[in-house]
Amino acid sequence: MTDIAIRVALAKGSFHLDVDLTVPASGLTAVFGPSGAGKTTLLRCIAGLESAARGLVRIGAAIWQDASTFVPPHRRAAGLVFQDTRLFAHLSVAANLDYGRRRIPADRPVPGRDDVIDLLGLGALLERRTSGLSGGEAQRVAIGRALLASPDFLLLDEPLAAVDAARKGEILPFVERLHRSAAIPMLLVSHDVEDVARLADRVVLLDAGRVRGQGAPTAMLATSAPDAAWAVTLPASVVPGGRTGTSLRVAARDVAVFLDPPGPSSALAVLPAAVRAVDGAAEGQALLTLDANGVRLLALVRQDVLERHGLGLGSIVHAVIHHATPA
Amino acid sequence: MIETFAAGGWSPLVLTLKLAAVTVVCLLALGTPLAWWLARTRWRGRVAIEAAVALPLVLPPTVIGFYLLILLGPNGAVGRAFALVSDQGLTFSFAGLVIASVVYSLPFVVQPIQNAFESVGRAPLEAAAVLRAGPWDRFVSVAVPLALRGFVTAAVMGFAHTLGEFGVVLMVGGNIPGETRVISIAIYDHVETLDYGYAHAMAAVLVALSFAILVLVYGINRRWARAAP
Repeated sequence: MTDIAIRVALAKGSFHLDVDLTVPASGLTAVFGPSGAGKTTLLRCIAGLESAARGLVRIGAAIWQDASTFVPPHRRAAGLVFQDTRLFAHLSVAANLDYGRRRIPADRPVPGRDDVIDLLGLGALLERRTSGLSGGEAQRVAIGRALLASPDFLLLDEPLAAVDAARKGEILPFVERLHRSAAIPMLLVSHDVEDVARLADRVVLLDAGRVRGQGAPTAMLATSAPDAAWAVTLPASVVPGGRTGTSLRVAARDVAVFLDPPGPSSALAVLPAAVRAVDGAAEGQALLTLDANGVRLLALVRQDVLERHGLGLGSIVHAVIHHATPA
Repeated sequence: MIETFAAGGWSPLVLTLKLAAVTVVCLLALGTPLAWWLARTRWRGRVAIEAAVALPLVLPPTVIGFYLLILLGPNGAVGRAFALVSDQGLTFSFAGLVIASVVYSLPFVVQPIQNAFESVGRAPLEAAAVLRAGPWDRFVSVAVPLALRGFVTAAVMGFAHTLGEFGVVLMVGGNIPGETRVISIAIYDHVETLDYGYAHAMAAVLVALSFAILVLVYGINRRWARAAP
C-alpha cells in the first residue's frame, strides 16, 4: 500500500471535522480552504494531537490510528510544522534542530544534518537563540527540525502565514527545493490560492470540516472561492457549442481573469473583456464586473492579485469560464 | 557578635538552615507533581485543591500547628504510621518539624511552579511530542527548563518562608536545643529572659539573610524578564 488514507471525525464545540481522504504517498498535497475550515485540526488529527478524534490514519502500510489503535504522537513519524513554529525558547537553533533527531529510534535512518542545514540555508543561524530569529528564519528552522526527526509524512501548517508578503521569498524557494529533493510525502495547509497553485501536485478543498473536492491544482482552485452567491445568466451562445436560445448560469467563482490569452485548456470559454467595476468582497477578494462584447460577467479574484498586476477599471483581460450550469 | 553566638550557640542558626534546606527539597519533590497536575487538569474540583494548598497563607500558624500536633501525635494518623517504622515520636522531633514546614510553606512553592507551568502552556509540549519525545521526556526536556524561573522562585521563597517560621514550630516542635530549637524560637526565648544581646544578634542575622534572599529573588526575576523573548 503506497497511499495515505485519512478518515477522521472530531467534534469540537459546534465545529465538526469529518474528513475522508486518500492521497498518493508522494509529492505535495495542498489542503486549501477558508479560515475555520478545519485545516489545522486535520493536521493535528493526523499527528495524533487530538485524542478525541475517531477514524483511520494510515500512511502506506503503517497504521497510526484505526478503531482499535491510537498511536501516541511521539510514536508517529509525523513531522508537523506548526504555524507559530513553536521553537523551544530555552534551546539554541542547533539544539532545536537536533531535538527530534536525537530521538529517532535505532531502526530508522537518520537524516543527514548538514544536508538539511544546506537545503534550508540554516548554516548561519545555528548558534543563534530562537528569540532573535525573523519570522522566515524561525519557519525554516521549524521545517528543518521536523525534517531531521525523520518523518514519514511532513505536515506543514500555513508555513507562509507567519511572514509578510515581502518575506514569502524567504520560504517559498526552500519549500520548493524541499519538494523536489525530499522523498517524503507532504501535506501543506494554506488559505492562499497563489501559494497552493505554485507548490502543489494536487489540491484538496476543505470547507466547514468536510472535503469538497480533490484534484489537480488548476481545476480545484477555479471552484474554490467561498462565495457562490454571485452569478450571472448568459445567452448559451457565448460558449462554443452552446445551444442558441438557451441560457447558462455562471458563478463569479467560476470565472478567472488572465492578462494574456491563455493557451489550450479545459475551460468552457475564453472571452476578451473589459473591467467595468471593481467591488470589494469578503476575505480579501474583489468582485470584478466584466463586459465581454456586451455580455455581463462577474469574476471573483483576490484583491492583492489585482494590485500586483495593476488590474483595475478599464483593464482589458481574458475572462476564462471554467464551469456553467443550464439556467 | 561572635562572642554572643558563642554564648548562646550557633546551633539554632545551623538547625534553621538545615530545616529550611530539607524542607525545600521535600517541597520541590512534592510540589512539582502537584503543581504540574494543577496546571494541566481540567477537572472542576481542582479549585478545592488549589484552595487547600493556599490555606496556610491565611490560617494563623497556631491553627495549622494545632492540627499538625494532633495528626503527628502518638494517637494521630501520621504519628501512628510513623511509629511503625521508627521508635521516635514525630512531635518534638526534627522530622516532625520538616513535615510541619512542608505544610506551612506549601503554597510558596506550589504556586510559582504552577504559574510557570501554566505560562509554558501546551504548545511547546505538543511540539516536543511530534518530535518523538514521550511524556516524561517532554516534561524533563521542555516543561521544566521553560518553567525554570518558577522553580528558582519557588525554592527561594520556600527556603525564606521556612526561615521565618515560628508559630507552627512552637506548636509541634517545642524548644529542644539542637533538635527543634530554631532561630525564631531562640530569639523569643532570649527576649523572654531579657537577654537582648543575643536576641539582637540573631534577629540581625535573620533580617540580613532574608533580605539577601529577597534581593536574589527580585534580581533573578528582573534578569529573566529582560532575557525573555
